[in-house]
Amino acid sequence: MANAVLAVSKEVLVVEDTAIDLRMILAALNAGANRKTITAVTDGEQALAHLNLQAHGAKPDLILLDLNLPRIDGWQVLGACKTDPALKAIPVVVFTTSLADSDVKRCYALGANSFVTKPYDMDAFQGAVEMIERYWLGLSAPWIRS
Amino acid sequence: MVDDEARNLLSLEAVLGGLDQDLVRAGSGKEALRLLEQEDFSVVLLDVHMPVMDGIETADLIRTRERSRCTPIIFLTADERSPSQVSRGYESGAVEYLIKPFVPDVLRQKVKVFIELFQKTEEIRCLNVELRDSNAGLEERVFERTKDLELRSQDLARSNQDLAQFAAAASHDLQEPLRTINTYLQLLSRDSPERFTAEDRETIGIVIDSARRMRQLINDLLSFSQVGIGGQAPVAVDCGLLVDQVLGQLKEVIDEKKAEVTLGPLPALRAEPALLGQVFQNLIGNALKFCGDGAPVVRVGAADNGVEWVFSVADQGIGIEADQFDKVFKLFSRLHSRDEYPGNGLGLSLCKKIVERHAGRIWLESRFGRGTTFFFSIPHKG
Repeated sequence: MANAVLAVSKEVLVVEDTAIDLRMILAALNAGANRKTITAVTDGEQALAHLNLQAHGAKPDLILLDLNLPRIDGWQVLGACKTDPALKAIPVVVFTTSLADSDVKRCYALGANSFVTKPYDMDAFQGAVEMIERYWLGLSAPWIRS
Repeated sequence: MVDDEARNLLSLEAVLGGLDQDLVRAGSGKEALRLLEQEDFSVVLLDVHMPVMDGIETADLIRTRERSRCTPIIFLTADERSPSQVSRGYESGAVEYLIKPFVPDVLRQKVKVFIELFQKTEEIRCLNVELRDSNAGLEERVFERTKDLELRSQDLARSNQDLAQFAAAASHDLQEPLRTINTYLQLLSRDSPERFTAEDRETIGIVIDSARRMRQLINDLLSFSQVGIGGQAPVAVDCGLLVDQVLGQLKEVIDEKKAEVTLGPLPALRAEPALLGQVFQNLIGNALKFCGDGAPVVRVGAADNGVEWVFSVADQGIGIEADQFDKVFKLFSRLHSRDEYPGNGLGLSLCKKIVERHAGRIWLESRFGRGTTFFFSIPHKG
């Protein structure tokens, strides 16, 4: 059973508009042990388009979501995901520069599964992404039911 | 002067002419009432025996009219028995009587008294009106001032709120490019170190360090601006545990400097723990930082003086000169160059703001070259 799950390739949707951050996220995700395909988009509109396209088919196993995005921002994407029955089960990890309490509260109120502030230091930043990858795509992830 | 006989009116006029007053004649009670409706009189001289409407009847009517309700009346009568009859019902009113034929001088004196009384009453009335007007003016001014103050305090609350939001947004928007700068610099110096000379690498190091300092500054400014805005409600805080936590955060410095930090018994009290923790962190952090050449020795204690807890953080460091005591709490104020001691001059300003938010005070005692003790108080009832 474990082998069967391990064999399944996961999909991660990365929503990030800052080029350098996206570059670091992709590098860190690729360094992770879990097999995965990664879709990267740079604004909320593309994110929702991608999700709706897939709504009745394969869904991403994880959304890594920045908050400050052009046009449709991260909060709107989060809200749309968590109010759509077809999407609400997808774990959304908010990954943002903000460390304001109000942003944390607002994200959890909208249904975010986790809120991680982007570390300032490059190594810590990549370490944080690797941690997210390991935890949310790993076998021990709590939302995977036997 | 009310009399049905013109002769009597004429003699009254002759007697009273010297008083230099307006003398008005009325040939009947009815005419008198009409005149009294139109004007205020100092006194009415009223003949009792008149046809149609006699003096007593006239006086009754004079008393029922608002304008003449209090106008003094002097009855003129030829009947010696009438005074008691005349004065019925007027016990409280200004009423006099004279028996005809009257002594001119007595009449003149009586009328004069009433004229003076009337003038005094007029003066008082005018003063009352003035007083009422100025009272009304005062009330209006107070009302306007109060309204103005309310508006201002609303403005102030709003601009405080705006400022806090601005600070939060600015901190985020300032942090992001800074993090980008830092990341690119780290990438540069790491991915291809061979491309750079030693001098280049030093330059990059300086830029990375500056960016890091700026980030610290933004964070500190943010905490400073957030104190007191949308704060948490005070909760029970065990200061012993709180300081232990702070020491945990400072562990690296403590180990590095081989510092000796001792804690006296610390109380539990009501406070905003995150803020109070920042006060301890700054004061203990300073004690560790400004230690001079030797290993830092820091004592943290608290004493109850009956109305408040007085906390102390004492070191045996470089000390502060007495004329600098006030300066240390000012925003951005620094006593040393950044090369000597790092910092941005915000720590103690933040402490002061937090302590004052808890209705306490902060002060220090220091001997230059011997050490410094910072004190702050938190009242029992906050």
